[in-house]
Amino acid sequence: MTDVLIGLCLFCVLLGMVPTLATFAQFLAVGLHGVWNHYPKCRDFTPKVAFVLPAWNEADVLGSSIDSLMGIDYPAGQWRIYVVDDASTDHTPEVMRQKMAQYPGSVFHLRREKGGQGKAHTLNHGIARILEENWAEAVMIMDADVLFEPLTLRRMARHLADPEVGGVTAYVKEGSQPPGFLSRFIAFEYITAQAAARRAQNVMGGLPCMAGGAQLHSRENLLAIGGAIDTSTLAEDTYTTIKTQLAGRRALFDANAVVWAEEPNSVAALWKQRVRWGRGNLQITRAFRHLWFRPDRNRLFGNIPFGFLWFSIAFMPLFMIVGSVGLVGLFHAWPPWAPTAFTALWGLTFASYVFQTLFSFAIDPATAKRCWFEGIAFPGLLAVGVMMLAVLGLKPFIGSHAWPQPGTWSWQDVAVNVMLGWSAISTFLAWAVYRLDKAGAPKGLRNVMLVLIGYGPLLCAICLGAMMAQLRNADLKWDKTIKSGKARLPT
Amino acid sequence: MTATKSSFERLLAEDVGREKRIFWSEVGVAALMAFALLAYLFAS
Repeated sequence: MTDVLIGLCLFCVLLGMVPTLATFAQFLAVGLHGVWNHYPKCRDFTPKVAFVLPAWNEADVLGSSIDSLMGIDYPAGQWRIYVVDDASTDHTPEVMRQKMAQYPGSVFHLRREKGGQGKAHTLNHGIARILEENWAEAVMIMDADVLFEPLTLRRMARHLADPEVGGVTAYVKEGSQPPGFLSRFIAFEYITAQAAARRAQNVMGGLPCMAGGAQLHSRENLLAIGGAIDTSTLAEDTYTTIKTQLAGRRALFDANAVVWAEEPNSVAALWKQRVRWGRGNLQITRAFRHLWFRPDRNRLFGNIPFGFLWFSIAFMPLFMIVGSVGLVGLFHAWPPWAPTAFTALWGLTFASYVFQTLFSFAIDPATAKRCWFEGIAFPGLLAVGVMMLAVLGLKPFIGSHAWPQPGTWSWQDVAVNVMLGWSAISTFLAWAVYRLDKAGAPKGLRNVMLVLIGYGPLLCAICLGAMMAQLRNADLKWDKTIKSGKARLPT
Repeated sequence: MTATKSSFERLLAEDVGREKRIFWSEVGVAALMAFALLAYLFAS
């Protein structure tokens, strides 16, 4: 019986390593993008592009978005802006009247009299009109608050010269000015989740998601996927990306094409946004369930490593919790093996953390310069402490290299249990940070807790929240993230 | 006489150069980590 228990605990520890191994392996592929990319197939190609901006009460940000789009470096007359107003109740119509007068023939206002169905429906209203007009050769799907750098469209459009490419996405950077504490964590997260991960995915042969903030589709691709965006999930951008690739065209990421957006600066707002994303990913997992781990059905999405990557990210908190349970269980079932398992799991986490942090600083030095501390504190300073213990041993912690006997309830015993279970404990503590933030706790307290417990565990907690919401079949409503117009293009 | 590069070529060259720099950065970080790992194994 004990042998079975020990085997089970060891298996749990191995499962706990899966997300770290998957993301570490993905990071190792990032550099290959330097020698294996789509740039040799790029041509000087500037198709007629229709920008579609879905807007519901975005009056505060629309003006600057339109101005930034009208200031891009692209051949005159080759781009138009269609703002799809989802029955806004603020002064969006006035802003649009002013912008249409300022940029005649380039800016269009499409108003839905009955709105509230969400982003995908709003986008489809605009896309239908654009495809009907027959003017656009490519369509840029974006968010109303996104600001384009002058050369971003050129950088994206050059890939469409290759008819095998159906869609291109840009690097969405956090652009709040002044940046808040949480925004800086998000800025660092985007280096790892976009600038790094999506480069690696280009190398792997396909993208799971083109960012909804800047998705450029060729007209042919949009027609091939049905001429509309999926409305059945909360992750319409991921769905569209996967459909693009299943329809036979490539989806690419150009990290040098940069757009700027405002991201949430409260844990409560971040929670709302990311629960929507997390639930969307779970819906996608279900919608494409016939593909995962079946290489014979699809070269990319059925690919085994790709499946591991997808599931380890979509279900990361479960892996973390299972890993913690395995370590604590092993400590109680067979104490001599616990130190080795702990060193293996957390030592790997440490190696992955150091590699990803240092490499992220090199990938986007400008962003790293303003959020280096958040990069270091990303897993939480307490987790960094646990990693150091895994690497250096217990002596600095309990004064001896010898592990305490389990079940003695001495402070060393309790401390070791907390250390072994930290992945799970930090996820629940991160949930407590969210509850505190929602209850209006002072920002200073929230920030200190976030530094200690970590932004990574917060993302895990949110992912767990998304799973629970999905399990209890909570309402699938489009919870819009409120934008205040704080994003600015860098000067 | 050398032809002047078009803005497209300049932009492409800049981006390709950035990707190559990232490749060498990864090599550098990996080498540093490998060295640290060896030092750790040697010391422990």
